[in-house]
Amino acid sequence: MMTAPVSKIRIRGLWKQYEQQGTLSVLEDINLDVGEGEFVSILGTSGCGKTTLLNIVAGFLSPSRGDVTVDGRPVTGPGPDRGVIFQQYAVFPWLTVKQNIVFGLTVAANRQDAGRREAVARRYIDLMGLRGFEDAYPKTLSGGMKQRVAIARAYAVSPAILLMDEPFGALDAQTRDAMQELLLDTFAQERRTVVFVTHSVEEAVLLSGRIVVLTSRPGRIREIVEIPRAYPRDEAWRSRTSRAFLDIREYIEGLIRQEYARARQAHVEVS
Amino acid sequence: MIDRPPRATARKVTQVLQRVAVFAAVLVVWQIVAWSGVVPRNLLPAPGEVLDTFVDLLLRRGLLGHVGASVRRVIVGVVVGVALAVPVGFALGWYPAVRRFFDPLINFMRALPPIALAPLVVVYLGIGESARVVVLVYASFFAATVVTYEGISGLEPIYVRAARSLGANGREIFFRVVLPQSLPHILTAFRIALGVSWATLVAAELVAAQQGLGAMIQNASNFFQIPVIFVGIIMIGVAALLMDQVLRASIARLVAWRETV
Repeated sequence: MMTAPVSKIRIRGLWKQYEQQGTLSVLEDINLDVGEGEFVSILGTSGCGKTTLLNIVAGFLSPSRGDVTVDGRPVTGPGPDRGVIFQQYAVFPWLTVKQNIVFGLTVAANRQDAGRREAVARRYIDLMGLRGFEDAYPKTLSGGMKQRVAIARAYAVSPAILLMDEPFGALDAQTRDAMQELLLDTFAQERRTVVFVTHSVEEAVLLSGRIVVLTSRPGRIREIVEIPRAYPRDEAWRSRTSRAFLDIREYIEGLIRQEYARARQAHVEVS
Repeated sequence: MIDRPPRATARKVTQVLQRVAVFAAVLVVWQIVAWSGVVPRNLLPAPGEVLDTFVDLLLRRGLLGHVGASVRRVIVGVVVGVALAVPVGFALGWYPAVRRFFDPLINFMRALPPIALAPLVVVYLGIGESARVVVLVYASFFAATVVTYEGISGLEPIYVRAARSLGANGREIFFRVVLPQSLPHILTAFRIALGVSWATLVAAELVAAQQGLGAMIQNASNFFQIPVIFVGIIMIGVAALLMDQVLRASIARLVAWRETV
């Protein structure tokens, strides 16, 4: 007996256009299914609409055409079933680390009693290596730590889906590597569906099960690349230097280079 | 606190000295000018003479009563003005269309010197205490409104997005995201309103006041008591400065989470 794979996120015929001095097309005819527990990255040139796509799934923007469903229900706005992690962290500066982490458990939609909140806070403070900083305000933390608080805060409400918008884009190289490791460990421990926007090919290959490569603007799906490696990812893969890793990386970098060249070409034709 | 390292104490003392240095310099220059006789004695009293007048006013002529009356008026004016300004500032900051409509009017009203309103206030409200306070409320309201709405319209939408994706509803977003983020701006509005109110005080006390530093200055002016005018002016400055210091210290405590750039 085979059951059809469960589609957690289903995107059908999605377009996003802005009306300003004519029609600016950002996304065109996006069709994508993301399965339960899958880690999907979205890659593309700058301005290809990858963040727009994530914001539509998050419910911050609505599509011009087409629809997005999560567990079969159409997305009409943001909600605690889809945790969002922003490149700018968006950790509330007026709350301490711990208060930030339990924020989602104190709102009416998802209120938990104090004991449960304490347990959840403990768990993610430990998992994200924030012990000793529970009562610190974000202004005293480094960028990497702020992002760990943001990840803990998103995980605390147990969202079925995590949407990450270049979460490590503002971090220095070493911190970025450490955060990627941490995310891989967390993903292995708590298998949730992840949609991850990045412009680092290496990051996408390291983390994802599938990589969606978009064309330069307007963003269409150029190709979807499968990464044939199970989770937890083994040391060879994590070292980022195995033959298989480098081959996939090179292949995708080739696609992105072509898209940059195409964008330049289009630019020349317009001007 | 007790075993604060000596260097920190020394730094603190230096800081205080740096702050009062300029006042010491002004005193010295003032004394020299008074001695030199360039300005007639009856127009520019020497610092010592002003100090004698201060002591006399303090001990025998109810200076503290004047200070108290003024401080009370300023506090009432600022508290009422800011209390009215905060909801208006929120509405203007939150709804750009409302702001575009009201902005010219607010800038017009704000530009009017309160002293020009004093005669009108007397006609409308008579010469009671409420008339004087209204002038201060007016001044602090417009100053605080502008500061509040500029703060609100500059808030980062990303925190609202983050809260919504954590399940917060509209009310929770207002009270737990928008309000805490606006607190520094509201407190700044308080400080600005306080400054404006002290600056407006004399105008407010033009409205037939018996008590108050502004009233004292005006009476002294009628009787050509220049040293009393000096004491009144200095007391306004000192009171304004002290209240601002207290407010600044409490702001620093209330919004300790704030990123200092």
